Amino acid sequence: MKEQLLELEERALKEIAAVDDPAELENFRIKYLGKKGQLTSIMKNVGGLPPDERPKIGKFANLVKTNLSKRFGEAKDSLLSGKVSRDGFIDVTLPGKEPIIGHLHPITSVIKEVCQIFSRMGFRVVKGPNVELDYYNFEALNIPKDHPARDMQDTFYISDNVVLRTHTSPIQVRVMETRQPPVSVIAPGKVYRRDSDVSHTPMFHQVEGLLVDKNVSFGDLKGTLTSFVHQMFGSDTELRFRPSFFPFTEPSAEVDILCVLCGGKGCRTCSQTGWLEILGSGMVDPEVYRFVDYDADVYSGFAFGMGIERIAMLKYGIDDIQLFFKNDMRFLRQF
Amino acid sequence: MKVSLNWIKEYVDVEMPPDELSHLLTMTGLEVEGLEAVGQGLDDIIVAKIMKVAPHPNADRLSVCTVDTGRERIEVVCGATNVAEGALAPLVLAGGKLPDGTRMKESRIRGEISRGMLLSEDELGLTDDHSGIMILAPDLTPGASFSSALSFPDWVFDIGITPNRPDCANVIGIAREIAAVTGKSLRKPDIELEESGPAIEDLTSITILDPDGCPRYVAGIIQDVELGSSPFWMRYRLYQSGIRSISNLVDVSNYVMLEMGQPLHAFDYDRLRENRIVVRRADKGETFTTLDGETRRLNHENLMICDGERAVALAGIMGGLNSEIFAVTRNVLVESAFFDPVTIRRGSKNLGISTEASYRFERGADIGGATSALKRAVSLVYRLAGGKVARGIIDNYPKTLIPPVIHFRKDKTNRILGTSISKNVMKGYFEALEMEVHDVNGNELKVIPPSFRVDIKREVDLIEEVARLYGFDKIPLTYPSVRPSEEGDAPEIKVRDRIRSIMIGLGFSEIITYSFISPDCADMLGAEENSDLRLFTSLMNPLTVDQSVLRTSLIPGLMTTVKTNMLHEGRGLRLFEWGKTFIRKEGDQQPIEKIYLAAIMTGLCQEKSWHDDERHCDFYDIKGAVEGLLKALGLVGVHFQRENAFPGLDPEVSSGIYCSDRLIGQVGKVDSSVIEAYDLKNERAYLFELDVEALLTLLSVTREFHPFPKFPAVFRDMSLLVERRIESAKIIEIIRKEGGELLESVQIFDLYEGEKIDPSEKAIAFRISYRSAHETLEGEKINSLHESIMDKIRHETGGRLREG
Repeated sequence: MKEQLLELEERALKEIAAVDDPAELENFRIKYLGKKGQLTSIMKNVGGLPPDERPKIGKFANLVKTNLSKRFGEAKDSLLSGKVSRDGFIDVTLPGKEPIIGHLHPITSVIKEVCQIFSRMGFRVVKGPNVELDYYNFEALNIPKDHPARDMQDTFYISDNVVLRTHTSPIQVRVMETRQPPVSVIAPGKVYRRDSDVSHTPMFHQVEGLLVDKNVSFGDLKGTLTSFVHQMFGSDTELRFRPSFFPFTEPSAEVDILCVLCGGKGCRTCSQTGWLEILGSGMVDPEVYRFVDYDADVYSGFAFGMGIERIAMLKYGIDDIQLFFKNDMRFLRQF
Repeated sequence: MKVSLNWIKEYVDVEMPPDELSHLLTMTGLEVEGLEAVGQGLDDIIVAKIMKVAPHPNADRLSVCTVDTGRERIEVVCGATNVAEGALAPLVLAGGKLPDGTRMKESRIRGEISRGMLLSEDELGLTDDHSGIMILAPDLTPGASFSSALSFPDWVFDIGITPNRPDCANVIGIAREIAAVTGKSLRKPDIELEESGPAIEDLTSITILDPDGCPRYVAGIIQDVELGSSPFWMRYRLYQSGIRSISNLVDVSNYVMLEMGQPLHAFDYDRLRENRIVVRRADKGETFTTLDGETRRLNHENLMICDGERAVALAGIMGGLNSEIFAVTRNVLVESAFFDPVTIRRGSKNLGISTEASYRFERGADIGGATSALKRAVSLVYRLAGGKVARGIIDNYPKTLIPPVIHFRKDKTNRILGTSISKNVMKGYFEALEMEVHDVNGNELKVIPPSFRVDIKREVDLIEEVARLYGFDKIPLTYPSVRPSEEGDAPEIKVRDRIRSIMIGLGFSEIITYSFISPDCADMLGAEENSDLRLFTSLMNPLTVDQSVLRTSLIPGLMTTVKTNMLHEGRGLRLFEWGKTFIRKEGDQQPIEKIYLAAIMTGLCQEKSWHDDERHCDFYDIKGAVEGLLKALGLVGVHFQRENAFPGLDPEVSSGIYCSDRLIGQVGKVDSSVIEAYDLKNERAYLFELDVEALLTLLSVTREFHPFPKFPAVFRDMSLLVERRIESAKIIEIIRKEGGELLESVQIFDLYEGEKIDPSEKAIAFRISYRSAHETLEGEKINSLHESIMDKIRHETGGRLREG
């Protein structure tokens, strides 16, 4: 019976190799594998064999069946898919069987890029709470109650003493509170301001940075941030450090880059100034050191913060900040 | 603050073009946010003298004026009522252009030929005054260019003043900065006073009952003034700075505020009962009507200016209706005071009023400049409104300012800035900023800042001044030597990017939704009364109800986003969000912030294509995604257990995700009630949620390599019929337990429920791999093990082998 099976297998394999249309293939199936097919009828006879031969032959018959079924499946696949025809032609222009790939939110991509640049410069990524005590969000950053600097940010309050953090700067205090210098950290996160209009969303993202050690100078701040800007926006990006005010740094500087859209000539994006504000920075104010118990005569350092949406808008040419949080697939799919 | 360049030039010489000045101011810390040309296109406008005014023969409201253009006399028709013989006015001749570009034509107006047009300030684009033609100073020559006679074009700078620099919220302050940076000298206005009135002490008195709130109050009086409108130069400057002209008396106080930074207030002296001033705190519940007509309820935080009987002004914020200058005002008392910044800020916040005055007081006015500002105002009132100036002023100064004496070190400054500036250069900067400087030694200085520099109290404040005047752009670039930290990134950072990449690979797109949601969301998810999902943290001042509590779950954000995308993405969505939830904790000020990963899948997971039919996603797609994710992360010991207590999930189609018996998440079908609540029609959606912190504690940091097996595996299939509610995991557990150490893996390769078998049963087929680490397994050994597994299954589940 084994010979019979071998002969059948050989014959069937030859036949199937020549099959090139679905009808023929179906005939093949009926002829060999069908309920009344040749293989089935041989297998029905296994029961009539002597008991000691039965398992051996049975197993062998099964092998043949598996093999033929497999070849049949393959032939069916290739026929139905039109992938292979007898003359070996395949249509390489047919779209491939593409798996679905998702998209990273552009804010995530920008945060990642920013953090990677600073990681390479030796900064460590840290996090802090979104619901923050007034102390960390304001007091310890030298923004006492009843100080006009509180007007710089519209705050969401949870209670008189607890706010949704208005910036990532409280993380500076939390970091310094728990360790002595040297400290070099970068802290991405969500921040909240009570502001919602064409150019503001009540929640947005910032990345904060802090470096404190012995002998850190304003020149180091300029060097570090210049290097960042060049890595982020291209090595020929022109930038300037402009005196400004933040209660927790002194001297404070805004970092502007030459408008990426008009090249400095003045346009709507840069409000005709030719420059785009992208970073706030400064030397950590000694008053902040007092809150975290650092000796301002021994240590110095700088801090900086940037709005991620703004950078993403510049980078991708997005003109509506609201798009980031609508999560429309037509938007997300572009990143 | 908006200020005209011509005004600035009154105090300092500016030779550079406006855009260069704009850059210079910006780089000094006075950011120019806008620069606008005023008085352009005036080339064709000349000064003309009105020689004769005759009524128009055919129109009552018009007159025919004969004007001297310097070269000839021409006739023009004019509708203004303020035309007067002998007055000088701007004129455009026929053929000339107006600032707005229109060309003037000779025309016949009601039968009279007009060869030009006399112009108003509005038509010239200088102010919004169109009440009549502009009347020019009498010393101009007819025929002269209007533009050069009045120094046009002018430029208006819009300067952003940072909260620390109230001293720059005025023209002299800005001019002082320009002078300091350019090395020019600052010209302060001349103040001449001819005091011909009675001694001021005989006219009034000032009583300060709250010296903390009002450390200084200076007052002057002018009698017999004539109320009128202000001259063009003053109205023009006020207009360009955004302040409306009211009357000469009121305009003077605004003008001096813009010029010197000192807010002033002019009272009608005769409306002050007992003609005196008392400064006190308001009583709780006291009401007061401010000059905008609003009646305000006060409390003890409000500082009041009163007369002998009643309140007459909200100190430092706004005057009162009862003492305002009005048409019959003859005698004026001018207040120039210093109020405590915190008191003014609280008062203005409480009442919700912010004015030019309160803005300046709450940032810090110049306590030392109160008298000169008063004298400047009095001299201007006298100049514009005449009258008699009372002899002397009252200066009640109970809390004298003690200026800080700052110990300044050159070396420290250079170290902080990364510069090597000499001590003398630094000293020069301080002197240019009107500071008093004394040498201590080669390294140190003693510096006393002027009273208007309220921001300078400490050495670091002086370091900043050095940096500003030296120029931030000149400070050389250097790089810090960062000592590497032994700590790595925050734990969640390490897996965050990895998880995101895996999710993207699984076809999910990342979304970011607001952390605040509507409190309805808990109901929409059908959360139980005692569910954590109801432990909301509420905002005291939300923007809308829909954003009034912090989210306790990421699911509402996912559902809302599905809804957003339904219209144009009907084919199928896969979304995920990585973010925090906020669960209120009793007795704690801050909620518990926990990071979750949540993902949702809806619609088709396979579109119809040339090689495949379309297929709708189901529970096993989302479960497969979470299994794939956890496997890729290297999490071992993950198992699923039917659970029906998850808010938002269909109790029949949901499972807990466990790892080492710890619940780390949930997966299931979104309940139809939730689908309905979010108005998603008949959509089916599947989601999972993972507690990232739990995940983090379970992920082993290191992975260990296992050598490949030395001996071959043996496969055996097992096709069973079991009661359909028996879960596959139970059977696999039996197989594993019974198979012991020889059991390598179990795979389910077939599942069938349907017509061919008993409806209470399912057919399930396993492929079992056996392998020994020590030997090649004998067929017989395996057969008996395989059979004993089968026995066990039969015994524990009632299952049996499927025949055929």
